[in-house]
Amino acid sequence: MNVALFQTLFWDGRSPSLDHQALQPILNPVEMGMPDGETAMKAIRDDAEYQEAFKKAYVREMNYEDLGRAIGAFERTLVFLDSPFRRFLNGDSDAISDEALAGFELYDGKARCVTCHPMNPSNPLGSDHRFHNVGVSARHQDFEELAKQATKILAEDSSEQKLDELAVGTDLSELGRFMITLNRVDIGSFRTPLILNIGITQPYMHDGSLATLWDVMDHYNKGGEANPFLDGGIEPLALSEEEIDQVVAFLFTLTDVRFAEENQQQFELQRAAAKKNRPIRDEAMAERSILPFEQRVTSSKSTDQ
Amino acid sequence: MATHPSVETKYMEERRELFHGIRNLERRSFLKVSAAALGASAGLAYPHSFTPVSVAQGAEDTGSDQAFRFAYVSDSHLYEKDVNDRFVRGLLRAVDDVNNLDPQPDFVFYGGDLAQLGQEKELELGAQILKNLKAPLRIMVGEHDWYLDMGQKWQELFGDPTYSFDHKGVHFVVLNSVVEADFWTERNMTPMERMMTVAGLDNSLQSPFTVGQTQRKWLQDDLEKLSDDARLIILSHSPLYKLYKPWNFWTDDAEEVQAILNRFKNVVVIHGHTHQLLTNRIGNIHFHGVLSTAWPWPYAPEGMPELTIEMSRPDPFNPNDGCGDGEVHVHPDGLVDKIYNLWNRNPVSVTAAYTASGGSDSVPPKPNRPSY
Amino acid sequence: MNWTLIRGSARRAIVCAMLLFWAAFLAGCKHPSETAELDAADPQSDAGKETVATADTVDVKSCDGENTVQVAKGLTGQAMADALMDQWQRNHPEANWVTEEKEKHVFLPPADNSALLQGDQGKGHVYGNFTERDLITWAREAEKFVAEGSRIFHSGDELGSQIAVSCDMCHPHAANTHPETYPKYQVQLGRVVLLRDMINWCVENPVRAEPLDPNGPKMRALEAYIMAQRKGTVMEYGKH
Repeated sequence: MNVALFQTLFWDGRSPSLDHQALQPILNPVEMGMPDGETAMKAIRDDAEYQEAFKKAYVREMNYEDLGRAIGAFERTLVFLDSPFRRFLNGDSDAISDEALAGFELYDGKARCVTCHPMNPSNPLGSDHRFHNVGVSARHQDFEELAKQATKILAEDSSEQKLDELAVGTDLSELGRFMITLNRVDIGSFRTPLILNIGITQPYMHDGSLATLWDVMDHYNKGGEANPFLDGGIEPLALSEEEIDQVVAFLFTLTDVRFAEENQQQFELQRAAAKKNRPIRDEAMAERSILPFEQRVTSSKSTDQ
Repeated sequence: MATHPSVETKYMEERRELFHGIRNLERRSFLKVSAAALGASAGLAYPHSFTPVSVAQGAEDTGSDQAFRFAYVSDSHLYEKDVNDRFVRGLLRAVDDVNNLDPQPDFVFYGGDLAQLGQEKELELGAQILKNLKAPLRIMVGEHDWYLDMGQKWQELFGDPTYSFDHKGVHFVVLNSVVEADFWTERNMTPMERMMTVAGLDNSLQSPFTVGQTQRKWLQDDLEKLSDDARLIILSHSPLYKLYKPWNFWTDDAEEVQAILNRFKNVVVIHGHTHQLLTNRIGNIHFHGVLSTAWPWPYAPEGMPELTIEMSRPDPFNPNDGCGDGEVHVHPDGLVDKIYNLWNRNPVSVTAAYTASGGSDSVPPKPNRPSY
Repeated sequence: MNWTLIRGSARRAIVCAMLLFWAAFLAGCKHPSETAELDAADPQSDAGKETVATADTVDVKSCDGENTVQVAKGLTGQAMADALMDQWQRNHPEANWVTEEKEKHVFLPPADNSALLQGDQGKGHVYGNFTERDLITWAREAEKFVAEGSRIFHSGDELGSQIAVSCDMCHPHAANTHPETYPKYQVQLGRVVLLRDMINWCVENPVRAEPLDPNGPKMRALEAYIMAQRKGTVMEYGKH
């Protein structure tokens, strides 16, 4: 949805256009696993309906590049901006609840969402199209080790062995944008996702590791996950439970009205799930009685001794 | 027909080449790939986007064992944790950073202004956090540590503020360069009023910083035994030159101190206080500022040294932006590469080659957003 | 630190003192021939003490409506006002707060308008005829407004910071505040804002305080100080 409005594609931004991006999963061994474009074409070339449609659209024989163009063209039609919140902004004061409105104020203020998720008529998606390390990767056990090795690769020319280890048998993708730029600053950073329709695009974060928007709020409320590359703009927010509910209520007003039913269903499902379990919630950190990096610093010494 | 490989293809190719090169333990290919990915110019010894090549490598080239590196953390301006968590978090992050350096630096230098208002609990908190450093600590005093009780608590915790030590053939001198003439007695100030006055960077009631006659004499004596080509690093809180008086980016007796250092072939001065990338050279003396863990200062509106490549204006959304810590890589000739490890930005190296060439070689990247 | 409280009363007192001054001035004009009988009593030595009215003294109620002081009978209005002024100044050591603020956090003076005193067209007219007094009034009042801004700018308490942070900690002498670049799209806020909106973002975030009333006296004073410090800078809205 709304991918037509992205500047780069994939979580690490390695693809510049939809036409280009569409062809990648076909060849990716862990996705569709086609050895090459020609093999992929073989699978659909005999279909008369496809043949005719392609002929009509591109006035030439079916080919792999046009396949990308066609999928891209389809994706460009998937624009879903007509949300209750947009209607509210256009003057329909009943379009969203008071709770959601309070959530919008938090989104714009105390919860600090708006800086990375700006929403305005020039840029309505709620993404700054930048890459941030918000610490999600840091919850993966091997991230710290991967990051350490990555910085070593950058720092030393005596570390070939290390890079080899890094390359073999680890999940490099957790290094995010770094794998594209090899910039140290990009370690563990991923593109800010668009926030429209967020209610129905669960699970959340680049790795789908959070099930509900309450979990997402818990993640940001505690100031993300401390790691040496954490974006310092991710600060503990000290949001109360009521405030979290308000922000989540607001986020559910960003779904296109054509998905209203699904949205309502998701809202109820997620609320029920969140009532049962809030695995990320950490009030001590949200309230700043325990500080980010504090446990890392004090525990690293004790384990060394 | 010219073909342009797609980003995806290039990405996969580079990745393949990278790992292929590494698997064959072929260093050249790795450097080529990383340089290409950076768009860095060929032959650049210290790619600025990287934490620079370790000094161990440089040492190999000269067959000397005198190269080494130390880390720095500075200007944390701690309040008590329940007054202000933000500055405490900054120092914690710096300690975490330095503890993650692998290999560990020979020691960690703390550049002064551990506390914001020189209060006992602030200094104790700082000392407590710094105890978590894995490497040994060398600490210097700043004006924020001093002017509440005139250094009593700080000295109780850390000892004499003026001292020297030798490390791997380098003579280090630590000065208390924030000595201010008495401005408080005449104004009948309480100790806290005196502290608050000194704590305001743009507060004009205070006196300019000095090293003072006593310490200058001590310095002269301390250096007496050294030959002119000795490797010498001076650590001071204020820059030991005159940059901008209204903010005390300034040492009032700088000329006298510089005169004492004049006879040496090379001297490096590393100073705190200015919270920014700052580089200067006066004759044989190479000056480097350090980053703060609390907040960055804007650049002085006038009098900036020509050698300084300013850092980009920080984004206030990120309270860590413009802050950080860093490393100092000491060369066998006594000059240093100064690494500014800016949080959430690529590190910037101000190399010995840069200061030694007077700014023509190995120029650090220019800021894309100047302060104003 | 009850700096705020002192300030509040000091400001009220200044208004009071100015009234006293004018009262004395007018008194002096009315009775130029009268001479002071200063030997009757040294009013300064009595000042600030609890005294009991005697046959030689009269009660004078201060314009704050609260304090009553005794002064010797037979004084001229001028001498009486001087004595009261002395007493008041001793009780209000911060009365010179504008001068002190200027000395502490040197800020730029307002523009020099002395050219307005030249030229002949305005002579004898009501409109367009400026005097030395006009210029002094403008400059003093403008400076006072800016001084008030400087005072708030440099005080975490005035700003209401929960973490003892004030503006000058990142912006000494209001450096790097670039008021001349507004209105502009402010990335932190995700929209186009005026200087005051960015001030309030800073107040809420790095300073961690409740936002100021956008039209309240504190915000107005902060804007005044920040703009004053950029005197001579070219306006360049939208600059990043």
